[in-house]
Amino acid sequence: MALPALEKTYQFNVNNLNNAAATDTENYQRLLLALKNAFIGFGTLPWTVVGSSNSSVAGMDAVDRWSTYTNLVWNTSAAARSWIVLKNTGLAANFQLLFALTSNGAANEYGMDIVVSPSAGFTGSSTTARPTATDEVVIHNGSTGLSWIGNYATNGFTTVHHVLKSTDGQVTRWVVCSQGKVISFFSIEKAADAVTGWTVPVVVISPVLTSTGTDVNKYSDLNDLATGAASFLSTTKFTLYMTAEGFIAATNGEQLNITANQISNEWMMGPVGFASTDVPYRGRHGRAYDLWWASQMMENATTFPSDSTRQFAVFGDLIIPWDGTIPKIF
Amino acid sequence: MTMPVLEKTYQFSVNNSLGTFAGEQEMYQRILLLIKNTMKGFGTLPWAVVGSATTAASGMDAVDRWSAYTDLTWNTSGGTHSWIVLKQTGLSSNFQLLFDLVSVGSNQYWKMNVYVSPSAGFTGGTTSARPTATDEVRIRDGGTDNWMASFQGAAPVTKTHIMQSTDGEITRWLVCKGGFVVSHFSIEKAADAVAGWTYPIVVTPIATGSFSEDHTTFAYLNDFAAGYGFVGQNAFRAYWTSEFIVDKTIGEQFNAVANQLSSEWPISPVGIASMTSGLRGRHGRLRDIYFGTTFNENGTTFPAGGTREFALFGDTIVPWNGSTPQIT
Repeated sequence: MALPALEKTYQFNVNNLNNAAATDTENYQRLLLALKNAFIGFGTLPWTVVGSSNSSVAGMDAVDRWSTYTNLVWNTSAAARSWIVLKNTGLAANFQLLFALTSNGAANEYGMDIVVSPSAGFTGSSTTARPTATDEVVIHNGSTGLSWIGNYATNGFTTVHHVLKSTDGQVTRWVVCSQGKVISFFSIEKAADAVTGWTVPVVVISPVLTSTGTDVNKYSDLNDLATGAASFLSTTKFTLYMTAEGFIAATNGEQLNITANQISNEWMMGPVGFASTDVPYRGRHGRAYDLWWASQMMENATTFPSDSTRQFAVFGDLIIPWDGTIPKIF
Repeated sequence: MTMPVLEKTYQFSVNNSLGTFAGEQEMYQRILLLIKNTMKGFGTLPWAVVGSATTAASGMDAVDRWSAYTDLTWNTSGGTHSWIVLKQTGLSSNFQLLFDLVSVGSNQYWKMNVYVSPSAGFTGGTTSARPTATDEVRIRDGGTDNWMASFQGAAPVTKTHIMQSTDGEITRWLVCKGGFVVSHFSIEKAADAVAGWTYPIVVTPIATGSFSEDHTTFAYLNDFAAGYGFVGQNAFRAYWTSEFIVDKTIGEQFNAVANQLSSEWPISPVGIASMTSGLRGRHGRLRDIYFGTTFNENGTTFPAGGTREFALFGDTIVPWNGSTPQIT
């Protein structure tokens, strides 16, 4: 299809190489520190720090205690551990996002709590207890063993991470790749064309990696399952499927995955919608800005158009805006 | 979802009742005559007659010989039969459509040949042979394909709905009987067509054999490639795509209740995709037609107030003129 026109303007922080560290713990620490720094480092409307803990000191005082990678400490719930609260006024006037390094074991750094507060804001907290909010919604519960990234329980692994954020703050995404695969995908974004009644139409996409040998954000993860995306109404979370155009019993990207369009010689870019089957939140509720489905045939780091402008890049089965560089997937 | 904004302006001739027919032959004759008369009768950019045949006379002379329903005669190929060629400049400067009343027998009125000529135009033709065009593409084969359900018995009461956009790019008909949609035909220019699709025109004739099921369903349009497009003289079959989760469309997945946040029923856009080898791909979308949900009944209108801007037939939703849709 003809290249789509972007609905947002993006800031990019991509192709960041993270060489294999001495331990896998250090890998996770360095990676998440870099992702946080990218979030708060964008030039226009960056995320701001509301509070943090480094497992030794905690406070909701706008201080960023994640200065060095050793400040990121994972542990089980109620044990001393790190957390950070970030704020983005592009999503709502006081929209806050909490990453708490809670896992189901002291060395299980692939676990993490992801909690949002759309309005009230987080308060309280200590080094052993994450802050809470009266309107909080737990998107991801680290203590259950759900992973925000692949479980690489080996001595170090090399990753490359990409972070992008719209200048209006409504879309923030990261992609982490290792050995040619997408091992972590995270997005927090405002849905477009949201239905009436979806009070705060914010979607968090955080698919759980089930195998380290595959991409985390495929049709099978996001269109066939609703475990990879979620939103909320008031304080109740509901899960979301990411819809795609299709026919017979599969999406276009799965059906038409052998060749490019045989009339135009173009590869497909299909829009992404959001739909839930959770009762009482059933329905097709909106769509994503500037995010598209690709053909399954596409390899990671394929760019569009097929010239050096590289305006879009494929990761997993999704296509995101790109900055013109050659995407690294290591 | 929020009511879509129409991309075209429409002329409507809907809720046409032809009363009770004397027999099934008369039913097919009168319905097809009504459709033809309506297509050429719209006030703005109607279809024009290029030529026609009854069993008695024929000619590519702009004369419409289908005056009375008895002028419509079906027969096997090679036998004397009726045909008509219509032209619509809204689709291309010389786009022509041929209805050729050929069937596998003299009494199978639910079949006919349908051909298009996007540019060259049809020539020739006699009372026993349809005209041909150098760029013709066959859409329906009267030897096998229905244009309407086959009803063998006492002819039922029907309601026929026909609409055409004022720019001529979209023409659609629906025939209802007993609460079911028993014939659908649309010929329309696709939107957002891919480069290389020279004449991005989609023809979708849907008719199964049954008078007791809807023809405009996900099953016939999304699971089956009921549409046709063409590049040169190579036709491709086209699926009407819809938004999916898991292995079904939104309209099939969410068919129990309206959206539980907005209380609105889904109105989903329709794309066009083909699996025909050599012409594979997602090629465009259709304007001003949508998939609804399998839950809603024929004749349901949207929005919920009395404006009736859209009406549901089968699993599809079409623009509507504010009247109460009649389906029996």
